[in-house]
Amino acid sequence: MLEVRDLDVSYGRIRALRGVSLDVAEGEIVALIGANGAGKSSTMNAISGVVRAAAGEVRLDGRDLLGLPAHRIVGRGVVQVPEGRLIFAGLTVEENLRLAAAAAHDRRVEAEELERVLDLFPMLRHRLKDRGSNLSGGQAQMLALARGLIAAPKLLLLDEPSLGLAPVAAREVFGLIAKLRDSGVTILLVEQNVRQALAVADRGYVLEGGRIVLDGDAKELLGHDLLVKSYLGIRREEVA
Amino acid sequence: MDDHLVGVLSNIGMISFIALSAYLLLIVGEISFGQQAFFAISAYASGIATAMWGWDFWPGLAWGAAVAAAAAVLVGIPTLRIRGLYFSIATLAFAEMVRLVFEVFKYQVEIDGEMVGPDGSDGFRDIRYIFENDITAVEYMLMIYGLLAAVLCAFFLLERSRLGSIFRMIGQDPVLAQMQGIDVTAYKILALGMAGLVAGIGGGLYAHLTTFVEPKIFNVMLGVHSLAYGLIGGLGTAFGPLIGVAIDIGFLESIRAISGYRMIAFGGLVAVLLIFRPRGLLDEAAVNWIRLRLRRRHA
Repeated sequence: MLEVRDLDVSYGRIRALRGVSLDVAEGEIVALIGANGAGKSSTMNAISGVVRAAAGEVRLDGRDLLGLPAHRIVGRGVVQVPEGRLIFAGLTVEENLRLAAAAAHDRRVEAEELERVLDLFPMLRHRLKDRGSNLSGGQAQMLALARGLIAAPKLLLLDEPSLGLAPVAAREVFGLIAKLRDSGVTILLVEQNVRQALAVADRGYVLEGGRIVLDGDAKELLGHDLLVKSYLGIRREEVA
Repeated sequence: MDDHLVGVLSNIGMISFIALSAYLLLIVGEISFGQQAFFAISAYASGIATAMWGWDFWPGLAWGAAVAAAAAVLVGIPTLRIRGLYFSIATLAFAEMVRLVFEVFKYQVEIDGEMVGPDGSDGFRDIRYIFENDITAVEYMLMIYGLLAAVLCAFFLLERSRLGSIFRMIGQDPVLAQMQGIDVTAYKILALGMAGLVAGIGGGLYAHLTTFVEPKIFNVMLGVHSLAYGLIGGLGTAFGPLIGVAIDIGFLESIRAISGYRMIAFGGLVAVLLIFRPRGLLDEAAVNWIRLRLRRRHA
């Protein structure tokens, strides 16, 4: 469904991505793993059009995405849930959701989509009239996820959905991602929490210094030497 | 009503339009130092229509505001691609350019043996429609406030509408708005056009009240003031900029004993408010508080 080929991204003289290639098939959850500054968010932002790529190709169902302005990429069905629980604090929960739906649907479908998403996130239903600024961290992340889903995207880009959340809230987020997979949503997931990300993902890519250094089946990656040493922080014996 | 009071109230009304136009751009997160350009363009265009082409007042005013809106959209297309401070500087440069163009702009025709029309830096005299048609100062003041009420209603509708929410989204976080599928540049150009129209209404009203406009009236200070009105009065509601205008024009400029100290008091007021209420007297929090009180009383 999504094909990324030889993607280069630079910020001034700093090269953030050097020839990144990856694939996401329909219905799959693919995790993107790496340390801070490895290029995970740059990959996401280049796919969603928020950042301009210097070179490479990005195709969705065979059609070129690269070079389109970000709002048109949303129209093609690629929706990003950005890092850091970014919601519109001055708008109500309902406005946050309805405005995200408006870009993708007409008004009749919008009401149905709102219902569908509120069924997935029951706690948001009681808070529709509250302003975004009154939500807790976990609630704000739920709103950001709901807002990403309401446009019924073909591909959801989740950037660090558990970052800075209390363990209970983080578990809730991963539970939800598993639920989304079962309902057939395709997801590219960037996560610091490597173990939980690979537990929910089908496949994974490991980024280092703007390059992909490893890729494979999520279960295999969990036991891979490099990953165990660099990211899971445990000794080989414990895994075995 | 005495003449002085009518004059002051008319002034407050007219300046309110340009304050509202700067406020509209603040909502979408852009700071313009150049709204006086659209005020000026409409003052000239509507004056030309009534004094030289013999149009009636209302079509003349509509024409002036439309020309101002069109100019704003044309300026917006290249400048809104640049962000933040650079946009502010571009608007300032544009407004100065407009003023300098009017310094050399000559376009006159002979009417009843006299030359009428813009005459460069000597200005544009005899925009006499109001006097030739026996509209009294009080009547004209009521026309100003009628239009201001209509524009305010439009603002309140906007603030409750989807378009208003999109404007506020863009003002809070343009990148995030883009991620929701919103064409940020297109909406900003729309906002700039609407702001040009509102400033244009004020400019047309101004030209017909004073009967005489000259380029130096439309200098940077007019733009800086209109921006400051929103920051003084508050960015939470369209009433905010009007409060700012009322404080400045109604109080500082019009009371003779203190008018000599106007700029000192005005500058001090802006400085104090920026420290204690950075989003103005009626900021979003104050507006929410008032709304909640009102809702409770009704319930």
